Amino acid sequence: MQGYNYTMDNKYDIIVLGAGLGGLCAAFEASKRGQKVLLLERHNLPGGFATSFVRGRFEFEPSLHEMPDVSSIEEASGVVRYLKDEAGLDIDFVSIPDAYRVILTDKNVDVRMPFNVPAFIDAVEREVPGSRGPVTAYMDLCEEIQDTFRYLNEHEKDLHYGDLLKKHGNFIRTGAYSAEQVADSLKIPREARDLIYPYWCYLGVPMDRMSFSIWAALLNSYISWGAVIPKRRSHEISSAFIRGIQENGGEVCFNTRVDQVLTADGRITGVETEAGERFSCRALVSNASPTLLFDSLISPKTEVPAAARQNISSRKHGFSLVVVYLGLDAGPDELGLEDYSYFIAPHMYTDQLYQKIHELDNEGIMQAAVCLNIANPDCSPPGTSILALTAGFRSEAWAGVTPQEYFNVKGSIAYRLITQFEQATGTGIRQHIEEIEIATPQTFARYTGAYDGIVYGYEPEPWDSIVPRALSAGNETYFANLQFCGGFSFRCHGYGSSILSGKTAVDKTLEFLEAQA
Amino acid sequence: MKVTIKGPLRDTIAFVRTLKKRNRVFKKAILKSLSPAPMNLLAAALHPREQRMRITAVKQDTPSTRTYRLEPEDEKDSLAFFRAGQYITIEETVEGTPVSRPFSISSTPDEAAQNNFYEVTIKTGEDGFFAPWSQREWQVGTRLTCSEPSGTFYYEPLRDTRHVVCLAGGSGITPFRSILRDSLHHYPDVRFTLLYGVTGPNELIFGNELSALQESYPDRFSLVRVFSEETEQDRVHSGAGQQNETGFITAELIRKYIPKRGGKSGAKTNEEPALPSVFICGPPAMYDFVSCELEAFSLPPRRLREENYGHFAADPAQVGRDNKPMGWVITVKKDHGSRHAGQKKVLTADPSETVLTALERAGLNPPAFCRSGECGWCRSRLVSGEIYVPEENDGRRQADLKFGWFHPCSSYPRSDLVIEVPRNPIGRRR
Repeated sequence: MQGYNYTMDNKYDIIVLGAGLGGLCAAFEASKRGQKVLLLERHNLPGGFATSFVRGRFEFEPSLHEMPDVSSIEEASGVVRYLKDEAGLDIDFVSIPDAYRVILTDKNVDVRMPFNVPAFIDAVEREVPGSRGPVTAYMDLCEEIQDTFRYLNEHEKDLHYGDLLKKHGNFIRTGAYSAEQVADSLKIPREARDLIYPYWCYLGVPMDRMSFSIWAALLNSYISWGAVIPKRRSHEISSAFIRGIQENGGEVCFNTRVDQVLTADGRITGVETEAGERFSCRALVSNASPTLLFDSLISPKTEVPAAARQNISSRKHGFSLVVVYLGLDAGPDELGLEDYSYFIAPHMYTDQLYQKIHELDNEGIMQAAVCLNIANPDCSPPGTSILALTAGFRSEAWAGVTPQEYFNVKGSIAYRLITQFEQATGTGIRQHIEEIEIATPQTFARYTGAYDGIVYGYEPEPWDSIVPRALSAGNETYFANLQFCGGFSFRCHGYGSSILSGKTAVDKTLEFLEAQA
Repeated sequence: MKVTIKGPLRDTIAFVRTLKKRNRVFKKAILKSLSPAPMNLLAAALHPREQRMRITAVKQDTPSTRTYRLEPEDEKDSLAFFRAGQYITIEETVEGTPVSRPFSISSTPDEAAQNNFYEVTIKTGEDGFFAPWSQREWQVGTRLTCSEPSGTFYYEPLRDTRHVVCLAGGSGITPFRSILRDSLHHYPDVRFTLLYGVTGPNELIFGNELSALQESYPDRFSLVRVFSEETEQDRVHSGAGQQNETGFITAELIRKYIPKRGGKSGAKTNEEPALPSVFICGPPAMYDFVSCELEAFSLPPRRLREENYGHFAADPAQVGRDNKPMGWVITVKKDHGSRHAGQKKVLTADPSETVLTALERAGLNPPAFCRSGECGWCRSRLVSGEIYVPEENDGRRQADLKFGWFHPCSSYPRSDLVIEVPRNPIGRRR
């Protein structure tokens, strides 16, 4: 190649593999702290799933539904506070008015759920009289779990069991159980769970297998703090990080795929790109998943310890998504769209809903729909709106789809999701479609390189939730100068977790490098 | 409040045991190779980073037009499947200058899947640089590197009407050759009317093929040839479903071929909207003319699809404003970092050319697909300086506007510029 052949220095303190949210945060933090940083990204855009795309008059949000908004809560720590105050990034946020509208078509449920815990409990009580007591206890418990996570964050380095047990007994006593087991124990009526559970799809594990701890933290953070989105799609977050990295003197290379992670003597020594360039580093922060790294990227393969391969073989990979992005030529008023976030399903039995996503042609799946204009009225021209319909799918369900079948298969899923949305909400949207794109696990694999197009990381069952992951971190460090960030790392998936994991990865990397020096 | 699930002690023990369970699960693991995963393989099949091809046949369609058949250089490779109407970008080096051009695939997706070829059809006269060069240089055996198929100019059953009006001008027929053959075969409930404008019968590309297609689908495909010069049109077949007209594709002409609502039976078909989806592809002069004519129909934007690969009309009053006689200086920093300013490349840009063209003319190798401002593949950082972007070709993201990123392919320099351009991952020259 001639032209833009990169003739960079080839020695770095820290190489960050992948400019997804975790990688962006890691490169930002490492460069801020004076490290010589190289961020390598295969795509021509930063962000991974946190990006945007333009079709005609519309700029679509590919993945973000909402981020919990901590700005209103003084003592809260969380991702929005990190982005604004700690990282000081220039991102404009807009607020989401209500938590969600849940429509369960087989159960005749159609309820708008508000943010704010007392209002949320009131809404459940109105629909399920007599539920106030147990639901209040449940929400209190969720708040307590969230508090413990804050405590864990603050004591990341000096954590020990005794202290945790003494001060945070409820966290410990519920920590081994699924969200369903805890709800059973607190005698939450089934009808109340129908209203409380819709966020399960943000984690993608059915409630009878989902770690209660992570569920409680998620539910509490949304309901008690409210939620925000960036004004210019999540590409604004990613672009703000890139600006920050460049201002800090970090280097970013787009269109640069890493094909090999080089090792010697149990250490990562550098990377080799598809163009054959080699860059060496003292430490690697990988936004690529452990699965990709240990199964295919590390070279020579014999350097991958058996334990690392056991690790990635035993963990359950999360699900992927199908998203139908619609640019509509009528405003939300005209269409009758009043809500930002809709959760639509025949019922809220999450184990059954999860089963459905193992095949492509099942009826009665759950969808999460977002009308961006309700929170962000200027996101598209006057008299238009942006609607995105999202459904989880296991990537395996797509495994047999050939290139020739692909466009028809996704078209028929889109047709069903549009129909389901119209029937549940009583709106007519299909005659207003001006732009339509349909993303599938293939699409996510294409743009992010994620293993099997998976959007979520490993499923957070109780044994593979945040706390077991954090407590096992020492045992499961297979290369001393390698840290992971992103949705497959210890904080589990989601925007906030992915971003903050980048900071943790840098903390740990610097600890390691300082110990070396 | 103290919460217990199965008893305080049991709960605590259970918590501690989550770690034991974790270790137990790992120990029991059956080691297997996980990669490559099916979705990564499907992505690679549908969207290869590049496709290396060779020309296996050349057909002279008209005196000024040739169709090239492209097959994988390595017979074991499969060409990427696509949606009829999409284009590929061919990367070439013309007289020492690396350039890329998007061309609609004029063959069908089925032909790619079953016979492993694409066809592209190139007419001289509309591109004064690349097309004549390709006609001189390309022959059977020539090797080419091209992109994956891309673009959004395709029939989409979830959006478009069951009656589609196609307006083609000159070589703008190329995507329609693919769309018509593919859709007539795969969408039995969709009808097409093609109004195909050329100067005269000699310039009809795929004339015989289109006639034959009309005869195969007499109820669902109407073919209207529109000759701008009134000569010899008698010798072009016309009959049921195939008409010849003289002049241009005017509102009056379009109206003549848009059937009335409700169809012959008079039965009300609520499904069918009053106005059909209209697809347009042709040279810039045709767009300008047809766009004005279509105003009479007040088509909502959802009923209008355009392919304009690289042809767009910048406002002459904007381009070259404050024209400096020597042109603007563009300083290209070679990477996104700030540490390598020493390796910058400086070039001079003619104010009437896009930044992308200036980069290519200077022998650089920037990424580029659509050349219309739409796809964003050339997205680069504008460190300093002022650019002009024609409004209809401004596909920039809102955050890119905020943080100073732009699309060189649809941007004209208005001052000296300092920019950063990402590398082109497609290996052009070998």
